Amino acid sequence: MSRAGIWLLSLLALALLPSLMPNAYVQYVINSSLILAFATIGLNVIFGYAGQHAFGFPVFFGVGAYASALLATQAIFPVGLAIPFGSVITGAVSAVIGFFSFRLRGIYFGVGTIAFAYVIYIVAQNWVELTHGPMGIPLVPPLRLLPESVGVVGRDVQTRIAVVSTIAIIIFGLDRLLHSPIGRAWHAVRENESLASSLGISPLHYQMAAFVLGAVISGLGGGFYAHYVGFISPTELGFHYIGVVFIMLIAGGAGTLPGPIIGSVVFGVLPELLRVAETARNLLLGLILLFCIAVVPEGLTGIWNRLRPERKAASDRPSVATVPDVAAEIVSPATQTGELKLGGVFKRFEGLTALSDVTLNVQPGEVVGLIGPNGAGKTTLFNIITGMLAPTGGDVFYCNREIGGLRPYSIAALGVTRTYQITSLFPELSTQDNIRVATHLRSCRSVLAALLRNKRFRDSEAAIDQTVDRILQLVRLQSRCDLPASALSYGDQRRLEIGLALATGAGLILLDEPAAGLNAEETDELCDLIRRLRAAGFTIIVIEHDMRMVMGLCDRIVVLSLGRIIFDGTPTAAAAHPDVIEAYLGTETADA
Amino acid sequence: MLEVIELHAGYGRMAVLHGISLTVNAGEIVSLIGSNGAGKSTTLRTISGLVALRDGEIRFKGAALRNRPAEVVQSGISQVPEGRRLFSDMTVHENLLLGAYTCAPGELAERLEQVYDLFPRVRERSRQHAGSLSGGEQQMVAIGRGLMAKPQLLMLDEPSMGLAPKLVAQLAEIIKRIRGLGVSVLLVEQNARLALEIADRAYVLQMGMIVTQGPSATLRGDPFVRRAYLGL
Amino acid sequence: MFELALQQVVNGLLVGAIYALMAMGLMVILGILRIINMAQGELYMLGGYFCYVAVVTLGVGYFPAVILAMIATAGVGVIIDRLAVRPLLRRPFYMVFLSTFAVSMMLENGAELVWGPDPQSIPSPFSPMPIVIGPIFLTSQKLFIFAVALVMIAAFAAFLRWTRSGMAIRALARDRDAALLMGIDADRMQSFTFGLGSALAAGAGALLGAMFNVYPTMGQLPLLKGFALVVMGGMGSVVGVFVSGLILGVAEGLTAGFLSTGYVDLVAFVTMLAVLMVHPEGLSRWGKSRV
Repeated sequence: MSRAGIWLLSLLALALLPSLMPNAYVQYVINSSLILAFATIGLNVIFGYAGQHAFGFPVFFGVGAYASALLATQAIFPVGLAIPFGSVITGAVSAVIGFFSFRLRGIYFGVGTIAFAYVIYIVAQNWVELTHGPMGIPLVPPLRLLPESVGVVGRDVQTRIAVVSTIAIIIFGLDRLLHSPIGRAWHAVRENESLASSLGISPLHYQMAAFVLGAVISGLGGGFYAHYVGFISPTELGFHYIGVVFIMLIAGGAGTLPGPIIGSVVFGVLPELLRVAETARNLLLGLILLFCIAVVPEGLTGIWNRLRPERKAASDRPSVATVPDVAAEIVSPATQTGELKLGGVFKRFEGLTALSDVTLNVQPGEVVGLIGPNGAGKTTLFNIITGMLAPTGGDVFYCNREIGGLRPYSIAALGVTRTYQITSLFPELSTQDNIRVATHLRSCRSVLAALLRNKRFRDSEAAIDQTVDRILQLVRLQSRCDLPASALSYGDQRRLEIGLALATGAGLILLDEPAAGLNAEETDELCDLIRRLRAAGFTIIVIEHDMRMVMGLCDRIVVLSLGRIIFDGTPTAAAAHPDVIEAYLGTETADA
Repeated sequence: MLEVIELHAGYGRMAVLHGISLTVNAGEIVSLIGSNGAGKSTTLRTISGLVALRDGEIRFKGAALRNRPAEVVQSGISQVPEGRRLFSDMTVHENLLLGAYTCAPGELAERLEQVYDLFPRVRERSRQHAGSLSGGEQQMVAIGRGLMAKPQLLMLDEPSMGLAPKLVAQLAEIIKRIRGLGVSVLLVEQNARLALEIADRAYVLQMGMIVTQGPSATLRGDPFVRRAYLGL
Repeated sequence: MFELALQQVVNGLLVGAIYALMAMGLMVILGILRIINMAQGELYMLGGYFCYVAVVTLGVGYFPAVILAMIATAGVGVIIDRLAVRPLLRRPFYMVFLSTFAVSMMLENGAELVWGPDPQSIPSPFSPMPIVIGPIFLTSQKLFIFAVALVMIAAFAAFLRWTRSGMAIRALARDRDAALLMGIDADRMQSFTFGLGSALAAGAGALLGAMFNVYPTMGQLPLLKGFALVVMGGMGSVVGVFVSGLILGVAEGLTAGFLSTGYVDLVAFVTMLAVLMVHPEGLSRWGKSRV
C-alpha cells in the first residue's frame, strides 16, 4: 500500500476507533495525547528537521494555550478564530525569542531557550492581571464543530476529528516542504551548517523559519488543549511538559514524519495502560528516555525502518539508470564569471599576522595554483575569498563587486564556491541528494510553490534533476548515486565534493588540496577533470602540495610564504626561483 | 630503541599513513622530512597515542608500546607538539610542572634545574604567563616542558615553524645539546635543510610512505629530495 | 527601609555563596567534560537528603554529616558518569544533555518515593538565639554556614590552583591534546571531576538544607541559576563565579524585599540572557566555548 494510503488509514483509525472505547477517561487520555502531538510535531520541525537544540521549545504549546484562552475569554473571540489567532501570536512571540536565541552559540543556545521558557513561566505565574497567576484561566469555552442540538456526536469526538484533520493537513504540508528545496536546506543546515552556508544556504534564515513554524504548530495544539480541557494554568508552561514532549519526540523518532505522532500517542497512553501510579511516572519516563538515547536514538520509527530491509535509501527520486560515461556533458557556470581582484589584503588574528599585503588578480578561465609551506596562509586566503573570514584590511572584488566581509552564502550567490581540505559533505544524504542540496541557488525556493506544487515548482525540480544527472555523470558517480555519502570511498567522496561545487553554478571554484589522499591514478583523473572545467569556462584556484600535479596543470603559480606572496608567474619559473626553493626546503642556518 | 613497523593510521575515512617503518637508536638524532600533507605530524601523533593505530606495531625498548597517551609518556617518550601548545593562561613554571606530571615529586627540583640550565631565558621568565612570551621563548618553554617528563626519546614536531632564522640556528644548537644529555631525538621538520644539518639520519616521507632514507650527509646532496619537495 | 535593604543584602550574601558553591561543580564538569550536567540540581538535592539521613537516622553530628553527604553524592556522581555520560561522549552533545536530564527526572522522582514530597528540615546543632549587629538579625547558624561555604570555595580554588590534580584539570580544560601529551590520564580525570563536581553540589545542598528545607524538587532552579553564574562569572574563573554568586544572591534578596517574591527567580535568567547577548560565546578563561 502506498505511503499516502497508510497515512490516511492510520489517521482515520486514530480519529474514529477511540469512539469504540466505552470509558470516557480513556477517550480523554487519547485526545490529550493527540493534542500534545502538536507540540511534538512542532518540536520535531526545529529539533528533528532543522537540528537546532532548542531545549526550552515546548513552552510554545503553553503560550498558544494562554493566547487562545485569553482571546476567547477576554477578547470574546469565537473559539474557531481564537485557536488560529492564538497560534499566530505564538509565532510572533517565537520570532522575538528566536531572534535573540539564535545569537547564541553552541550549548548557550539550548540553555538560552530554557531561560526564555522559564521567564515566560515566571511571568505567567506572577502577572496576575493578565494570566490570573497560579490559579490559571478557568471556564475556557469549548470547541464545538456542530451546534448543541446535534447531540449524537459527542464533544470528545468532535474535538478528536478537528484535531486529527488539522494534524493531517499539517503533515501533508510538512511532507511537501520536506521534499522541496526548503526541506533540503533544513537538512543541510542540520548536518553541516558551514558547508550549507558555502553552498548558498543562509543558516539563520532557515533556522528562524523552522523555529517560527514549529512554534505556530505548537501554539495551535495549545489552543486545542485549552478549549478541550476548559482550563489553563502555568503548569502547561512548566519544566515537566518540556521533558515529556522531548521524550515523546525522541522515543517516537525525531526527524521522521510519523515519529512525533507515534511518540505522543504511545507515551501518552502507555503510562495509563500500565496503571503506573502517578508518583512513579517521571521515573518511568526518565528510564524510557535513557533507554532510547543509549540503545535506540532513532526511536520507534527508527526501529520500524530497521526491520524493513527492502527499503531503499530514502531518496527524492528513483536511481539514475547507469549510463556509459561517454564524454559526460560538462555543466557550465550558471553565473557570470569575471575577474577576482585582491588588493592589499591582510589578516590579523590576536597578534598573529596571517596574511600581509596580498595583491592578486585572477582572470576568468585561468587555473591558478596556490602553493607554499605549512602555515603560509593559503587556507586563510581561501577563507577570506569565500567569506568564512573577513579581511582585517584590503579589498576583495569579484566581477567588480566588493565581496570582502560578506557572508559565505552571499558570496556563493555571487558565483564563488570552494571545496575543503578535510572532506566536507552531508554524510547521511545519498550521493545524488548531496548534489541536489547544492543546487539550492538554482532552485525555486518559494514556500507557496512548494506547498502548491505549481508548474513553476515542478519545472524547477525537473531542471534540477537534469543538472544532478549531468553532474553525477561528470564525476563518475552515477552507479553509486543512492549510496549515503558516508559509505563512499575516500576518492569518491573527494569527487563528490567537486560535484557539489559545480552544482552551485559558481564560475569561480576554489579547491583546497583536492588531491590529498588520492593515489596517482585518481590524481590524474582529477587533473583531467580540472582541464575540462577550464575548457568549459570555469576559473579555478587550487591549493596543492602535490607538486607534480600543480606544475603540470596550472597556467600560473602563486607562492605564499609566511603570509606574503613571494612569487607570481609560470610554473617553470617558480621551480627555478631561489626564493621559492628557500621557502620550501628551508634556509641554511648560520653554521656553528 | 624505537621501532615503528608498517604503521597505518588516519583520520576518519582518510588513510594518511600507508605502512611507515622507521627506527631511532639510542643516542641518535633522526629526522622525518617531507612536504605538507605527507603525514609527518600524523606519525608523531600516532606514536604518542593521540591518533589510533590501524595496523602495524610500535615497539619501544624492546617491548610493544600501547596506543594510549598516558602510557606512552610513562614509557619514556615525550612529544613537543606542533605549534607549541603551551597552556597560555598558566605561568611558565606551571607549564613545566605539568610536563613533569608523570614524575615523582622528589625529582621535580632536579628536573627544573636541568631545564633552566639549558634555557636560561626561561628561568628568567618562569613566573610570567606563558601566553605573554615571544615565539622563540615559547618554543624553548615547550621543549623544556617536553624534557621535564625525563624522556629517553624526545619527539619534536616542526619546532622551527614561525621562528626567525637566528632563533632557528639556536634551535639546532639546543637539539644537539639535548642529545648530549642522553636523550634521543625524533625530529619532524618541513625545513629539510635544517633537519639534515642537525640529524644523523633522515627518512623522507611522501604521501604517507617512506620514499627514501639514509644518513643526512648522503641525503643532503641527493637531487631526489629536492624533487620530492618541488615536484620536479 | 534601609534596615530592610541591609537585612536582605546580608541574607542574599549567604544564599549567594551557596549558589556559587553549586555553580563551581557545574563549571568544572562543563570545563572538562564539555557537557552540561542536567542532574547537577538533583545531586545538590541528594546532598541535602544524605545529610538529613546521616543526622536524623544515623545520629551523626551535622558537620561530619555534610562531609559524608558529599562523599556519598560524589559516588553517585561517578556512577552517573560511568553509566549515563561516558558511553555517550562520542555522540552529539545534546545526547548527554538529554541523558543527564533523564537521570535528573529519575532522581527527583526517586527521592519523592523514598522520602515523600514534603519538605524536611535538618536539625540544627546551633542555638536559635539571634545575634544582633546593628539593625541586622543573624543567627550563629547562618554565620557558620556562610563560613563553611567560603571555606569550601576557597579550598576548591586552592585545589585547582596548587595541586597536581587541579593543574591537570585546568590543563585538560584548556587544551586537551596537549594535556594528554603530558601523560595526564583523561579518563580517570574525567570521572574524578564528575565526582568532585557532585561533591560540591552536595555540599551546597547540605548547607542549604540546614538553613531551610530539603525537598525533592529543590534542585531545579539552582541548576539553572548555577549555569547563569557560570555564564556571568566566566568559565574557569572561581573568583568570577563566586562574586557573581554573591551579586545574584543580593539582587534576589533586594527584589524579594522591594518588588515581589514572585519575580525573584527572574533576576538570574534575565541577567544571564543579558550577558549572553553581549558575549554570545560566553566568557571563558579556559579558551572559547568548544561545546
